[in-house]
Amino acid sequence: MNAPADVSGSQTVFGYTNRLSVLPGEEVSLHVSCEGPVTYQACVVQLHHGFDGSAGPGFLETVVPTRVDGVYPGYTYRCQPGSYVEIDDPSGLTSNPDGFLIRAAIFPTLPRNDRSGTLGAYRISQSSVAFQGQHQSVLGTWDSATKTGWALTLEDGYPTFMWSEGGEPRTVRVATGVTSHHWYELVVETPAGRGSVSLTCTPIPHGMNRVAPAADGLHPEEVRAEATGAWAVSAMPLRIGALAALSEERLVASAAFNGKIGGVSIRRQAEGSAWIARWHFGRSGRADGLLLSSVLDESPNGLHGRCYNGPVRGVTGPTFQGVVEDFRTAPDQFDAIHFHDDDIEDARWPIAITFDVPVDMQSGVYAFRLTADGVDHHVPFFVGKGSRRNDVALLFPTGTYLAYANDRIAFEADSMEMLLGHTPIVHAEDLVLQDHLEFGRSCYEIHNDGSGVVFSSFKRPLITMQPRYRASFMSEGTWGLPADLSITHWLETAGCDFDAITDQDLDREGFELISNYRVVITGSHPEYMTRTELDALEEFTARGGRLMYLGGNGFYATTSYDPDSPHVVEIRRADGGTRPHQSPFAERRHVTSGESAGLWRNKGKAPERLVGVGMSAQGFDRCTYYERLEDSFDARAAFIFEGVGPDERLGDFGIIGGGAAGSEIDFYNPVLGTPPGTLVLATSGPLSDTYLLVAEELYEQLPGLGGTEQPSVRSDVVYGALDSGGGFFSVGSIAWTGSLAYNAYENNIARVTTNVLRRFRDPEPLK
Amino acid sequence: MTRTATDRAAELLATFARRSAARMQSEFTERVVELHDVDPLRVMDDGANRVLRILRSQPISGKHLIYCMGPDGPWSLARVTHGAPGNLVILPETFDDYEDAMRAVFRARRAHFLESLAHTGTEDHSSHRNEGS
Repeated sequence: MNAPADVSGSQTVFGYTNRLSVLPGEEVSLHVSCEGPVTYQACVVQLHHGFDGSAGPGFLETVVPTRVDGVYPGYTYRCQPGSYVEIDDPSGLTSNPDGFLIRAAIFPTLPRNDRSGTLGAYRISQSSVAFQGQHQSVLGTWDSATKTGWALTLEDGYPTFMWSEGGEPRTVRVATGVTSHHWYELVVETPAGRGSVSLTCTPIPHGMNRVAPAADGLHPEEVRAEATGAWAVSAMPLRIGALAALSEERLVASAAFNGKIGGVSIRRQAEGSAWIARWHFGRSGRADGLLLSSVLDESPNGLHGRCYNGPVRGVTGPTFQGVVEDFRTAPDQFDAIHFHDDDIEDARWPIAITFDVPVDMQSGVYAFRLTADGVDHHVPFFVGKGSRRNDVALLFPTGTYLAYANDRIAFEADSMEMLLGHTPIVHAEDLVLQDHLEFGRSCYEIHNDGSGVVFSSFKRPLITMQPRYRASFMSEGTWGLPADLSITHWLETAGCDFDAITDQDLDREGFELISNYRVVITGSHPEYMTRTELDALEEFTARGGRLMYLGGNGFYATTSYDPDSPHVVEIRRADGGTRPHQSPFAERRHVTSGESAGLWRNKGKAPERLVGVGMSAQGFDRCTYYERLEDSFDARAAFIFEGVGPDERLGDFGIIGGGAAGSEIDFYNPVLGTPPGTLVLATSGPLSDTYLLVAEELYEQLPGLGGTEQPSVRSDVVYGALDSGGGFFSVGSIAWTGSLAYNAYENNIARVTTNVLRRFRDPEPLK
Repeated sequence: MTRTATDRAAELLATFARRSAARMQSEFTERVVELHDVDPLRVMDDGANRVLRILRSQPISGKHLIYCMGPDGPWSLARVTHGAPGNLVILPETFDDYEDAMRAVFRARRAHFLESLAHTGTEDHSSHRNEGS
C-alpha cells in the first residue's frame, strides 16, 4: 500500500492557440500562463498515438525541430470567467451619474447561494464552484480599488445603487431581496447636483416567471437617500453584467451577474430627459439578423457595446409575449442577454510564441508541448493539406471536442455513476481541472445558476484535449482526440498518408474542401455537425466520394460556429431527444446561425440518409463483439471480409470496454432514410441493460428499454454503394477505434477497416 | 418555524427513500454481492441491478470515485470532497486492477448499509449522503 501523492497541483503551465487548424505556410499563435515556475520549455511535436496503456502501441509523439524549441520565461495570467457587455464610450457620457435616469429589467437566476435540487439530465446537485455571487453588477462603472464610479447591483440579492462621493462609497438598497427567475424593473434616479437618489424595484408580471403573479407575493418597493452631488467618477468602462477590475494590466470581469438583463437605458434628466443610451439587445446590426458580439445603442450617441466571454443572446426579454420562437422575427421581445459568472470564451492571455508552419510540414496532428516542473501540457492543433494533397482526408470532430471540453460532470452529478453502470475513474488531469474551474465548462454541464451551457471555445486551456486524456466514463478507454489518434496511428501503420481537416474547416469551406478527396474518414464521435458540413458530406458521396464513418452517435445534433469568432461553437438543446439539459422555450434558436436547436433527425437530416445508421443507445459498462449477418456474404461485400473467417466474431477485444461494439452506438433504421441498397454486414453481440434506447426513439414511456429486451439497442455495421460510384462504410460504434491496434494490428477489426480503406481508395466505382 | 418548499421536497424524497430502503433490506442479498464480485461491469440480474442503481444514484457529495495513478494503474478509491485539492480526497489503499477498485467501492457501500441497519434497524436515506453509497 502506498499513499498516492497529491497530484492536483502538479500541472503548472497551460496554453491554448488562436486557431485549431492551420495550413502549411500559415501562422498559429500560442498563449501561455505559467503558475510558479520562472521558465518553461516549449517545442512542437507530431502526435501519432494517444492511449498510453500497455494494451496498445503506447503514447507516441515525435519532436519536430522548429524555431519554437527553447526555454521561455513563465508569466502568470488570470483566466477570469464572467460574461459582460462593455460599452464604447470615448466621451465619458456615462461616467458621471449626475441627473441620471437609469432603467434596467433583470431576471436574476442565482441572486443568493440557494440553488437547490438536481438539475439537468445527470441530476447535478452540487457545483464544484463555490458561490461567489454576493456582489452582482447589473451595470456600472464602479471601481472597487478606488471606490469611485457608480453601479446598479444586487448585494446579497438586494437591488442596490452605489455611487461615490469624494471617494467614499454610498449606497441605497431596497428592503426585500429579489426572487430568483422573476422579472423586475429597476429604476434609479439621481439628482442633478445635491438631492435625493431613488431606487425603485417593480416586479414585472411575465409569462416566463417561475411563479404566477397571483402566487408570487411580490410588491414594488422604493428607497431614497440624500446625495451631495459630489460624484467621484471612475476610470473604468461602463459594463453591463459585470464590473471591470484590473489584473496584470488587463481589465477582467468582477461582480459578474447571473441571469438576464434587458431594456437597459440611461437618460440625463437635466437635459430634457435626453437619451444618453438606449441599448437594444434583441436588435442585430447584421443583414441576417444574427445576434453575435456587437450590441447596439439606439440613442443618437451611438454608445455601442461588445459582448465578452460569451453571454447568451437570443433569449426572451421583459416584453416577451410567449408566442414567437425566433428572435429575428420579434427583436423587441428578445431584448435581453443572459449572463453567467462562469462564462469564459477567451482567456485573453498575451501571445507567448508565434509559429510559422513550414510550407513542407506534413499534414497531421501536432501540438505545442510545454514542460514545467517536469510535467507536460500539450496544446494540440491540426496542420491541413500541403502542396501535395493526399487522396484521403481524416475529418477530426473538433466540434465534439469542444462540446465535451473540460467536462467535469463526474464531480457534480448524482446520476453519473448510475448512467455509466460503474464508478467513474478519474485521473490527474481531472484534478487539475477541478483546481482550475476558471477554465470553464463543457456543453454537457449546467452553469452555476442551473441553466445549460450552450457555448464552448478553444481560446482557453482544454484539459480534455490532452492526447493521453481518459474520460472518467470510459473505464480507462479512449474518448475524443485520444480515440481519434487511434485512427491516425492505424493510417500511419497502414502506410496511408492523409490530410487532417477539422469540423471548423469543413463548415467554413463546405464541399470544396473535400471535393478532390477519394476518401473521407470520420473520427470516432462526430456528433456535432453544422448544416454546411452535412450538406458537404452528402454532396461528397453523391459525387462519387467514399465516406468511412468509424464512430458512433454521429451527425447528431445541430451545431453552429460564430461567423465572426470561429473559436466559438454554439449547441443549444431542444425539448426532445437525448440531451444533457434543455434550453427554455423560445431560447432554442442559435444566434450564430439562426438554426433551430435539436437533433438533425428531427430537421429532415437524419444521419441514416448519409451513413445508413443512426443513434440507438449508449452504455458505458462493457462493450461487445459483432457477429456477421447474411449481407456480409454478398459478393458486393466480399472485399470487406477478405481474410476474415465466416464464423469469426469481430472485435471481441479492445481498449474500450473490451469490444469494438459499444459506448455510443447506432443502428440500421431504414424508416429514417437508410439508402435502400445498403447491406447490413454485422450486428453487435449482447449488451447489458445499462444500454438504453435513446429518448428520440421513445414517444411514451415503455418498460423494457435496455439491451436485454429492446431489439433496437444494438450497433450495426453497414455498407452502401451509391449510383455515383461513391458510398459509405459505417461501424456505428464509438468503441470501434479502440480495437484497431489490438495485437499489433493483427486482428479482424483492423483487417476489415483496412480492406475498406484499400477498396475505397480505388477509383473503380463502388458496387 | 415556517416550512418551505425545500422542506416539503425533502420530506417527499425521504418518504421515497424510506420505501426504497425497506426494499433494499430484502433485495440487497448475498447473491447481489456474488454477482457484483464476479463482474462489476456486467451484472445481468434485474434485482441485483435495481440494488446497484440505488447505490449508484446517491448524492455526489462524499461519493466514491476511482482515481487512476498511471497508464496501467494502480487505482485508488477516492471521495468527492469539495474544498480539498482537486475536490477529491484520495484514499491510501491501491489496487492493481480497476475492477478490484470497483469491488472495493461496492464493499464499502455494503458495509455502510449493514452498519446502518445495525444502528437503526432500517436504512436511512439521509445517512447515505456522506457515505455516497
